Amino acid sequence: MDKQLIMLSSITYAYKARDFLAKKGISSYIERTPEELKTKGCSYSIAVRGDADKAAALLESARIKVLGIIR
Amino acid sequence: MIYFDNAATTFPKPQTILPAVRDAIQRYGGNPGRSGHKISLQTAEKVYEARKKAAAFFHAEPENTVFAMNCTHALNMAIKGVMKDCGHVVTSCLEHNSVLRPLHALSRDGKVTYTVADVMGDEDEIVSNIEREFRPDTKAVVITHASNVIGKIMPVERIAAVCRSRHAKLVVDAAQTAGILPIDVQKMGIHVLCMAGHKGLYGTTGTGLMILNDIEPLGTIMEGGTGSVSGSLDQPEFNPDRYESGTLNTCGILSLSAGMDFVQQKGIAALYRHELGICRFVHQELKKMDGVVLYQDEIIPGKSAPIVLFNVEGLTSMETTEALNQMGFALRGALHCAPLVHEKLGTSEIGAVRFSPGAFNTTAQAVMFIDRLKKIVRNRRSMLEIH
Repeated sequence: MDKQLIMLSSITYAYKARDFLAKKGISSYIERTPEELKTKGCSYSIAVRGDADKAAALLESARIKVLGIIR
Repeated sequence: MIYFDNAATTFPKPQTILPAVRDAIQRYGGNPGRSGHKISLQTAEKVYEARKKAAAFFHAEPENTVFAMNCTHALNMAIKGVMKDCGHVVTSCLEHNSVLRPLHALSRDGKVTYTVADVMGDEDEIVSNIEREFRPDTKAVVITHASNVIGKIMPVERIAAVCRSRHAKLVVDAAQTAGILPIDVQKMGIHVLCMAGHKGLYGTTGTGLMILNDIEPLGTIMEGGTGSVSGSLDQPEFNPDRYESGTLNTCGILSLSAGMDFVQQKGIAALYRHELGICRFVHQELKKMDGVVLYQDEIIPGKSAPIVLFNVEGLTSMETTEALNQMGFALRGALHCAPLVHEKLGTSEIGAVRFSPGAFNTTAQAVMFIDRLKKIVRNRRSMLEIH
């Protein structure tokens, strides 16, 4: 399955999201959001393989704001 | 030289601080939260580990754990941030200039008014005196967790209850208690907790923390690059970026991380017991000595931070600390940047000598200190004649 990027507001939230998803059994890693996909300038994303919508919903339920999903 | 000035900054530091700082220079040299390459991301991960550790220490969320330069920096962010829309502040006579000067500056600019509550009495008097100073426009109480001069611990949870009932924010200065007393910002009802990283948390100088809990975004005292929402000229609303403009002090943060590991391994309760035990011994010995003035009746577990304040009759505090310096003991005299409490003690002119042990001091060192101090007391008349 191709990787999908979940965009987050900052590096701190990216690490928090990665740790949170790891506890839920979803592995991910951190990348800088690609230049062409940024909406308001710099941000970081977590790359997940699998159901990005489910991962994003989990993050939102933990009050970790998701800026978007890049497929 | 035997160091008893740990209330100013702890020294020596644990041996584990050295490899942490070396790693920061040799391995984690990227700019955290700025770039996408491995060196930047590895550095950012180490910074996040430190942030997570500090958050767990004080029962906060990692994003609400803000790195600062020192406790003064954290207090400036907290006080000026909470008071962004003006109003009145209640503070206490035990405060350090890191609280008093920002309040004075805001007041001089006509933005804020403040009242100093007398907190020299017992807990009931402290709470009642603070509550009495409230006004309809009171927005915050800014108070030390423990005095850096007399070690007196404030009843923070009771003060928090007053703040809750009056819809005011509580800012706490934990410069002397972080790493010495357990602090839970949620249970204690603290909105902003400020501390040094280089005292009881054993990081290097140039480190501090501001912990936020259940509070809306504060006003900022500094704006700039955060590595986030860079397309906007507005400072981010989210934490910690809102308060962390510019490149972080990675060396300091990684040292602080190692320092917090040291405190966790030793245990906060054990460190407090150790340091207070030395203080109680010194206090008892000083009490027996003629020619010594003590400014604390007792050193009480749970009521006192590990500090003993005294003077040698006939000498200024600086003369005593200089005589001790010549004998190989490092203690701090003068006003400890807390002028109002010295006014209360009647020591504004001569200051007072502060004895403050740390994790690496021993009772044997305290015995030597008492022995040398006895010599100073015995010889003070001839010292005075020399002067």
